[in-house]
Amino acid sequence: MKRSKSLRLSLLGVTPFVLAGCGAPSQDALIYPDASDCARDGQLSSALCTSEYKQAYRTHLRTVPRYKYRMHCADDFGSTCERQTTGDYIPTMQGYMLATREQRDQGMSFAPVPLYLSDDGDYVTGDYQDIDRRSRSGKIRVPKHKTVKPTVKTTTMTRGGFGSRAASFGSWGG
Amino acid sequence: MQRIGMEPRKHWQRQAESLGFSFHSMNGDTYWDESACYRFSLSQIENDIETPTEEIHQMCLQLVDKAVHSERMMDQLCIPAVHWDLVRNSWLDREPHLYGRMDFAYDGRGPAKFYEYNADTPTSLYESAFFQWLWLEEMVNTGKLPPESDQFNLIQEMLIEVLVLLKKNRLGDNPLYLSSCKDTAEDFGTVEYFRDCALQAGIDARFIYVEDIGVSTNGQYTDLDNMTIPALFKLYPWEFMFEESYGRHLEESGTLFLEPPWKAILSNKAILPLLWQEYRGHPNLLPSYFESDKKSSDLGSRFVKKPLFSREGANISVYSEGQCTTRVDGPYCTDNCILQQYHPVPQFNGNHTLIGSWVIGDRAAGIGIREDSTAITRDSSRFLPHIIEDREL
Repeated sequence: MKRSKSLRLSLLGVTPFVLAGCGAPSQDALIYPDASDCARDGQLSSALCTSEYKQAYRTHLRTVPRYKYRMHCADDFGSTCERQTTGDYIPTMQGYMLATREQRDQGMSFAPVPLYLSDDGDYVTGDYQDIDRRSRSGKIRVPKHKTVKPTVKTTTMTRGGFGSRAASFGSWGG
Repeated sequence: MQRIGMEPRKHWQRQAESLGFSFHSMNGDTYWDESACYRFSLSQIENDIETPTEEIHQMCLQLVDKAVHSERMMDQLCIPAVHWDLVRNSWLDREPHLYGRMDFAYDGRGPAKFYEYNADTPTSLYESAFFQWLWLEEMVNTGKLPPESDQFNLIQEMLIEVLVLLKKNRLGDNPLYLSSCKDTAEDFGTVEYFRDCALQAGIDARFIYVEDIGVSTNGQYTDLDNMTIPALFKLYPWEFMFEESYGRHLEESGTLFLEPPWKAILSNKAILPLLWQEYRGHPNLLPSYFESDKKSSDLGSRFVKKPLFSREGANISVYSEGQCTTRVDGPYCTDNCILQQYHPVPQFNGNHTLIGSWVIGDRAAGIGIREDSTAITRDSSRFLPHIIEDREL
């Protein structure tokens, strides 16, 4: 291959996990509009519902798509767009997706994911992966890649061989 | 090499905006254009682009080594004499460089012809390195392109590797400041993408506008919190920094610059006649001369006149039988020019196509393609993705 197998961004946005595509394994997840709805459903404790909501909201602030024009935001997220003090338009967080009790018990849980409403009224992620109808709440089944934690910062990525000449700058100019 | 019409992905604009590619359209015109792509065979990429890119890069490094020891050449390069030591020392100290982009005219047959080396402040990095890659991944994933489709694109991966080495060998835990001028969405986008890669390499990467940089009492460059700037990536040309008032602090500042001062030699079109002097007849080089020098007949009666310093096609004019036939106006001084044999970029469906070949560290890392409606590629050009596919269509 003459191209990289996988790339991602840490700062500019959440890279779509396109490679997981069709036939990807699916798993359970919970979706709720807010922490009180989560608590009412009774599958998770009220405290967990709240802390997960806060975490999803922090992720929202960090990774939400930002638009220069309201029109462009509205094209994607309908009437849920709001203006920030920076002048950008962003969709308002309308819900969150979180790991189930069973997943937590098995140590298989994932970081809560902020959800938005598409112009069609579906729950979608910030990079517009369709999750489910808005009317749904509680346990759903989603392809596993949709619950992958959005990364913000990573450290070293290496692959054998490349860059050794860059390291030994001495090979130049002789 | 072919140009193939493609169906644009429905959500590409949304995707571009959510991933930091705010300059996908400029002045109402599309810049990122996925309504077509270019298809290459593997041997076209490897033999005609990748290999010559690395070879010309090595020729360029030889030229730098020669130039820093020759006042005559430094003079021909129009580098101010007061900065010769800075340039020379940055080379002798082996200050690292990260990236550059060579422009080639290539139509799929015969040797690609080297136009120039954007070795100091190249743009179109994000769209070449990331968005083009993402396009292919999605096209393959949705079955619109066959699974064996490939692309010459290791740009981001190799960029992160050279940034990891920069941290290891030079930066340590010191912050790297990244800088562009205010009010340019494209430059800002490119620098933010660079910062993204630097963060992935584990570097403490901070943004500062060129205009916001200060100088301390003892001549060190400072950020807005009055902290000194140990290392600065600047998307701002050396020829400007040499001339500006802060230019006199370049040596005493102790700042490590990226690209390093010696790149001022390569981003300069004076390398074209200098390369032709050193490597006359090289299949990838076009005959080139200083305007003021004696010209040989290999220049031909049609040639292109380029200022030593210009970007995005500005101030380039085409001469035929002594008459100027095409001219792009621009802000650059046209006192010092070079002449290069006329060798227009090829046309595909009426589009003029230029290949940008990326050099990361000292390796050829991938390509990006720009199209324009005229023979001179300007900042109004469009960027198109490419694929490698050996199968017969």
